[in-house]
Amino acid sequence: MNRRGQSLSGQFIDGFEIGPCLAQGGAAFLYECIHPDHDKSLLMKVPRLGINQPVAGLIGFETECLVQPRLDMIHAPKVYGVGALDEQPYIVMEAVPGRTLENLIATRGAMPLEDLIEIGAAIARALHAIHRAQVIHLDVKPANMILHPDGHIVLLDFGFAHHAQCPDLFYEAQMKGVGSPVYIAPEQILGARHDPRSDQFALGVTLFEMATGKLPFGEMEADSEMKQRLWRVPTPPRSLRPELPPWFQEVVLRCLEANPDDRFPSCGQVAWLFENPNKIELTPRRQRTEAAGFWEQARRWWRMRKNPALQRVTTAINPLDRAPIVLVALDPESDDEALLEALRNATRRTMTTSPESRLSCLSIITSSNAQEKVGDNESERQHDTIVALQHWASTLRLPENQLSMHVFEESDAAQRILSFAEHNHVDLIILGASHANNRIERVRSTMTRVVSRAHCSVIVVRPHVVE
Amino acid sequence: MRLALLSDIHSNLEAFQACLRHARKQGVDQFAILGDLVGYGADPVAVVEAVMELQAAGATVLMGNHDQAVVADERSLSPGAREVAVWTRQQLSAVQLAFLRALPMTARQGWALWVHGSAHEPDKFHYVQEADVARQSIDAAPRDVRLIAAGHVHEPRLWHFSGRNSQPAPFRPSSGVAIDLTPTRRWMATIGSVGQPRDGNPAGSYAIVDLAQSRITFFRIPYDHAITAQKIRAAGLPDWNAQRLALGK
Repeated sequence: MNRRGQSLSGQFIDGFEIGPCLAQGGAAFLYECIHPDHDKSLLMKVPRLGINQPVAGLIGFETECLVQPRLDMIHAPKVYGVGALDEQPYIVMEAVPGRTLENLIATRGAMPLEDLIEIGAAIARALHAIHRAQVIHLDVKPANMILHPDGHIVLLDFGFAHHAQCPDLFYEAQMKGVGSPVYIAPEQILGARHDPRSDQFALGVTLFEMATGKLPFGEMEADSEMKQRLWRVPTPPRSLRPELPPWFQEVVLRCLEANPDDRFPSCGQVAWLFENPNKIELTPRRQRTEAAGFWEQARRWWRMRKNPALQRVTTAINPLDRAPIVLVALDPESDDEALLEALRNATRRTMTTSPESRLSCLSIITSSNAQEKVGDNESERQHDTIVALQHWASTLRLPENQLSMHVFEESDAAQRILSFAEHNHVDLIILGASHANNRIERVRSTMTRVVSRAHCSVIVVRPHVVE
Repeated sequence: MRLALLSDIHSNLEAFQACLRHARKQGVDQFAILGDLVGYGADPVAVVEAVMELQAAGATVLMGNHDQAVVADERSLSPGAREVAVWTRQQLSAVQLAFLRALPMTARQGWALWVHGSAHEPDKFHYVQEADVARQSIDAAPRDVRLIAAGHVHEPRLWHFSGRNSQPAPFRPSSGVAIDLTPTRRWMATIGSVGQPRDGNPAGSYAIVDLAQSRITFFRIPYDHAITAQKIRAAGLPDWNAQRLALGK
């Protein structure tokens, strides 16, 4: 609709030829459109404007136009154009293939465990990716997530989002609790919009819903009902579906902790745990089979009354800095002792400065050194390497749940390191410099390729050279 | 039209030159100096000379409370700053003093308004640090003004205000990241201090406004504050004025 209330179908705006109206929501119209520069059909979202429209709708549209074009990644629809608010406001974005999670839950109901793990990890990865781009979504729910045919999650509707490098228009409007009532985190109800862990709470609600078909806090709408989640313990998902593994309940309930400090440090760590469920530190949360009693609820209410983590702050905090995921790549059987020691020292220094970090130790058995072990079969080779990795890491004295070991047989070591790092949202790669032996060229090229193509920082470690 | 806005230079030649160099590299068309050329620091003569050259080349230059104290009455300042104002008066030539005396309180450029403190009672130099003071400043500006840019508070902030049932909200900008000044709201920028930042970051602060694109970008520019501090000590000015530069206080 334009300002005079006429449909835009058939019109041209800034080179976009507008097709049929696909949907009319409370706050906006959605049109199909095409543009001569792009060979696919696009979506144009046009806000409903006028004095009888709620203010939140306009602020949401402005926020979307501010935040979404800054997200250049597979986890957000690509933006092709934005129309000025004082002329014809619109935002044009790609039409993402796939189904929304809302649609999946509606047709399938409670999902099988393997789907829960796969989709849960995909959501956590998508959230971690936008958090690393300094964006907090703040309206995470099944209707706002599309499962792309490639298996990744695309987040929709950044109308309530917070970008650390953009003015926060909702803070200005002093609106509390914007977002979808049944999904948003307790601190959002109080007006806080600065903590990426708020999205993790909504991830917890979504996981709960995908696993049980129900909502952890029910369909609450009224303000007083919403505030209950500041202290109410959610129903344990295993009380509704006993065959869910305890670790899954542990993850969901920890995401749903009322105090952000009690949740996981980052969604990247949630994704990491979905891939390493044996590393999940199980607490009494996993055992809960019924909702908490009156006295426990009362105690939680008392504790949460004046929690500074829930207060309004305008500057986004970044827990990601405190909880990096570190990857160390080494060959415990062929690297010389001096290099192994240098790698251990570099890893120890990194892990000491960030106590909440996680360490993945990665070893690649390339075809050339696999041949050296003639007679061993693949699983024996891998087992030997895991044992050697564990021995290498033992003097780091890291808690079991902070550490994981990975061994792959692969001809292209650099490619494997890079894809592992990308898939697991690794924040820092530590690897050895080339050293004096007959495989020098191969090692050097692995190192240079990792350094030049990694999406994160890389530390190259070399033992002191004695002349 | 791209304008570099610089304010609160406070006789810090090293910081001023670093910010000017950076702005020229960004290819700005013009400069606006939003007051407080002098005070605190040991280089009033060189700084005023450089600003006079900019003005001769078309730059806007405004009066700040420290400039006013030097040419009129230093008693409005805090005791430490008073001493430097009297010292500064002795350093400047009659021509330079006359230049400072003639500076205006505000200036307009298209849909923007420049002022040292607040658009509300510009000659009273209110500090825009709280939402209600930001609101007064925005309300005092003519209706067609969408951006008010000021210095005076020594901390870069961008206040945004939609005029609906809301309060102006402060945004802490990141260096080098452009922010769209959308037409749906009014904006009040405090661009920070070139010569004496007080937000814990010792790097000089200034901003570039692109009037055609409706965009503002804040920048933090490091400079060799050890040299500046040395000059302040050599001139016999209060030692704290030297110390604070390294701390950004």
